Amino acid sequence: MNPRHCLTLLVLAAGLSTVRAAADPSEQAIPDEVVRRVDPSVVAIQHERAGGSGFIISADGYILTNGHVVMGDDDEDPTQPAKAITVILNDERKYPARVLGFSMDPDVALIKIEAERPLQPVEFADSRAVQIGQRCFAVGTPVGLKRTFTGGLLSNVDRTDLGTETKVFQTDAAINPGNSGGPLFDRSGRVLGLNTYASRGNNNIGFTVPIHVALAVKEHLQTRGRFVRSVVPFFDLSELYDELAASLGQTNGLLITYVMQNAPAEAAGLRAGDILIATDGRPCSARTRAEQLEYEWEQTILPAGTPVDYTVLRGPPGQRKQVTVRAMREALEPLPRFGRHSGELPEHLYGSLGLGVRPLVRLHRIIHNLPDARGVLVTTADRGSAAQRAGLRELDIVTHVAGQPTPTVQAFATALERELAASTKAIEFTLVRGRANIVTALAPFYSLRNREVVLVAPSHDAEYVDLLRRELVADGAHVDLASPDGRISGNGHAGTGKHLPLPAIRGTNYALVLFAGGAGARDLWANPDALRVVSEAAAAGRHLAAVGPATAVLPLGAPDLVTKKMTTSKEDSAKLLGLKANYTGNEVESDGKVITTTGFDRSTVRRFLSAIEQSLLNNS
Amino acid sequence: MLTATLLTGCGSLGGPDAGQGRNAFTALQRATTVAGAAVRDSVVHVKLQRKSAGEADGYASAFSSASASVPSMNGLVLTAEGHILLPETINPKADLRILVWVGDEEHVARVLKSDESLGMSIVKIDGTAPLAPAKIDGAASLAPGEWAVIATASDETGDFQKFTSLSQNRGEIGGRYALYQLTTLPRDARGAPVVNLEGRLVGLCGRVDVLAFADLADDLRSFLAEATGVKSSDDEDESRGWLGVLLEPINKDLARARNLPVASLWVLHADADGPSAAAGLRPGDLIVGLNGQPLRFSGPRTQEFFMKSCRPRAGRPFAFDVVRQGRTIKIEGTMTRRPKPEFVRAEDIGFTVTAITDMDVFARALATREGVMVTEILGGSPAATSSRFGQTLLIRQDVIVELGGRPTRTLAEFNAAVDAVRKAKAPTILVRYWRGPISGFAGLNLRIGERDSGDKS
Repeated sequence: MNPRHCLTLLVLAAGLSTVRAAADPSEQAIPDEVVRRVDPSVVAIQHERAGGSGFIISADGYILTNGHVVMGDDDEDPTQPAKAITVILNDERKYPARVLGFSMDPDVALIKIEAERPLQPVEFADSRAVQIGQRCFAVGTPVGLKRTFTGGLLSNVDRTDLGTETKVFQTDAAINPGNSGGPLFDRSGRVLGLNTYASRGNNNIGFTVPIHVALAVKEHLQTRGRFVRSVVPFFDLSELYDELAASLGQTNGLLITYVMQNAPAEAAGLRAGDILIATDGRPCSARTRAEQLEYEWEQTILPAGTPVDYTVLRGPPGQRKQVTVRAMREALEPLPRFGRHSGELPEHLYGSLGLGVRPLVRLHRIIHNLPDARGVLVTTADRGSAAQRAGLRELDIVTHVAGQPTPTVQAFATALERELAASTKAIEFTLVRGRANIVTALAPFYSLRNREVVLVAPSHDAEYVDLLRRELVADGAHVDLASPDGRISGNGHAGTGKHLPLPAIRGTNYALVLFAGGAGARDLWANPDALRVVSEAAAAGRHLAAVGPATAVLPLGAPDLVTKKMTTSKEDSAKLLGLKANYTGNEVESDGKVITTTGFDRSTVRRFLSAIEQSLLNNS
Repeated sequence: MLTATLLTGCGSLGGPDAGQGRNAFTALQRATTVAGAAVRDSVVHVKLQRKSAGEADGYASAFSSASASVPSMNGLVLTAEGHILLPETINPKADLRILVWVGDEEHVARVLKSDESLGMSIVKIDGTAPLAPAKIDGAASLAPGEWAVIATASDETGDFQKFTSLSQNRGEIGGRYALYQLTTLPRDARGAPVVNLEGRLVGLCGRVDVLAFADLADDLRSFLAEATGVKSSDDEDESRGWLGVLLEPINKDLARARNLPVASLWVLHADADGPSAAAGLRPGDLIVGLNGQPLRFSGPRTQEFFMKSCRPRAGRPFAFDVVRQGRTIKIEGTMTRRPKPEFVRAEDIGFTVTAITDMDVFARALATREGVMVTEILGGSPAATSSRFGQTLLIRQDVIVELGGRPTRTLAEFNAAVDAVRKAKAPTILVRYWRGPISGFAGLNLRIGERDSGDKS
């Protein structure tokens, strides 16, 4: 380093320390003691997609953050968190984290790290007893800048017009991307809430989930892995704002505006137009939207499976009678995608058909104004795909495939895959679209028609097996499933191939031998039948493919394959390197007739499937 | 004066075969002259001018004759009384003056009728000597490679020019009319008749190709019949026909698998108040033929063919060939006039409503027809206020089923409910509505916004 620069830095450092020493404690917006206390409790979070902030809530490593900070990017299963999450403490120690559960609204996630020594948890404020104008400060990692403190006021404590399920706090403390999941503290350093997002394009408008809401969600995530809402399906409420109260001639209560036909709320006796005045004997009323959301929140976190008594006023003004009805609280079915919810329903996707369906739940009917038909909901109909050529559209309800009713995704998959396995040229679909009943036909392009494939995986760890089988079948391949004990757990459907014990498999009988499974696939490394099948297939010039840990079985079964470029999961790379294999570390590797993948996530496995298809078409 | 211009098809006239070539050329020239003469008196020159621009300040608008981009065209005389066919859809209410030259006489024409499916209009000039109508009956078709003569009118001499051209290709538009592509089309040929070397009409020039007369003749005859019977542009709206049916093309793969015609249309919905439902058409029926002719093509082109072919006109009969449960049946009816929507505007409450049709219930998946539908929310009105940011209490397409405690199943009931609210002079009213599949209630503060007597409703 240039000595002059060195000198300048020293002088500057001396100046800073002088200034620091001279700082008047009364000038500090946040007391020094508070800063020192909260600083170790706030963490930075990073993963393969992005990151954010969080804070420690227990000495043994539980951390709260936002759902959107840890959510993965698996469109087919939005309940999947990011795969590789790292927590960075304020002293730069780093730990891999496990996601115990997350919710998108309220925007809360609970993660856990295993630290070697006790951590410093935060203290909580009473977020029900907050005031507008109260001083507060945020700590987090805005735009990647760790340990950033920003200060301000609680600008509003009843914000309800953002489309969230609960009210949120508004603050003018700077909240920027990366602050997400970090804490908003009161002046004493107690957590008021979980910073969640800011109004884009505006200054100093940030929003925070109240900590009492976050802690209620946290209890669910810790005990059940997901936030389970308790509801009486389904009725809707409105607060009695001034004009509504005046026009009804009733000043207290909540108006029941909608009761779903044939749903438990209707069966219990609730009617649209009833005015709800007590729940379980306790008076309930809301004059504002915030009060209404507060009431609904208190109800939604009560245990499902318990009875509830609603006392309502019924009839025209002046002639109203008091009626009490009893209903049962139920656990709300998984949420579809809407508003701030990314959804909790996995998609059953056939990539080569461009067709994806999800289970149809009652909330779908309300959100999308769907008819009361039994079927599965089309959620993907890709442009230019067989699905689009058939005229399928998102939000169509498929009620029958090839004449078979499809009330569930399982029934849909069974009916469709039976036709795919038979390479049916035009598969009939019966749809309900709005109020129209439509019949059409799906004409798949069977690029792997009549190719024989065997999919080998351990019966106790069939990760991605169903996805691989389903896509290969949709491409026209004939797929047999094999495991050492012949009891592979993939969702094989009638007519889509055999379930065979591995000893019965001959590598020469197949165009492609594909090994899969999660960590359990390591058992195949020493399985003589697996090694024999690889050896037979390699000697016969067949295609060989493997996912993640299963990759090592290829060079173990056919040592000549070490010259082929291949890849595996990060944890198993040492095994390949130990075999002197040509390990590249790429997510998908295709070298001649050997195709491998890390199996990192579903999108990686889909690219692996494309590589298999290309290889089979190019190297037949 | 006749001027023959050979644009194409001429080989070299020199060399050893020069004599033979010259003879061929002379023969073609003669044939051209004879053929052109067959339609020369049936072609008129037409220009469109904007009335207001020309009269107000003399400014040369894009449509004035002084402009370089004059949309001049040719008109084909259809009757001796002065009915002329123009290759343009012209709104009878448009601010246009239509100038027609018959020889060197200038006339102003009026629009009798336009047909969007044909893309043509029939205009009429008065006070002229009997004209020579074109012989649209017995039109011929043009084979690829066959010579054709295009007869265009000249505005300078009042005479016509003619061109010869080779037919190159044959195509179709909407599966309904054949099209010819010629090697060259002269400028300003739109609307000009095309004849073969025998002088028989074969087509009418469009912008880039020629519409076949053989396919057009029937439609032209009915178009002319309708035009000569029409009195005013209001009658035009009145006479627009309606089938009251929602159709979707059959999927090709399904049709092949079930051995059904690929050129067919599913009936998704037949409006309960419409003529198709009255004739017996039902959802799930498959229309395979229209007015005795099978439908053509597949997918959206079949739908286009259907629309072009049925040319809806109130009072016109229709006949569908329908496959229902494996049997083909014929369904016959008469097109009606689509009921005009009626609107009621309640300014003091803050919205405009209309009656709900059976098609509304189907297409918008409304929860009920027993109400009136909001078509507009008036800004600053009681209905436009809300305690929720960016939302109004009521929104478009809400179905109002109750107002101030009174049902509003029809516009008449809605009017009565509004009257009752006005008489009661209550500061607030309760509105019950459906929004998609969900019912709701709104309390409206009638003191909000501009007060109005309500007489405008």
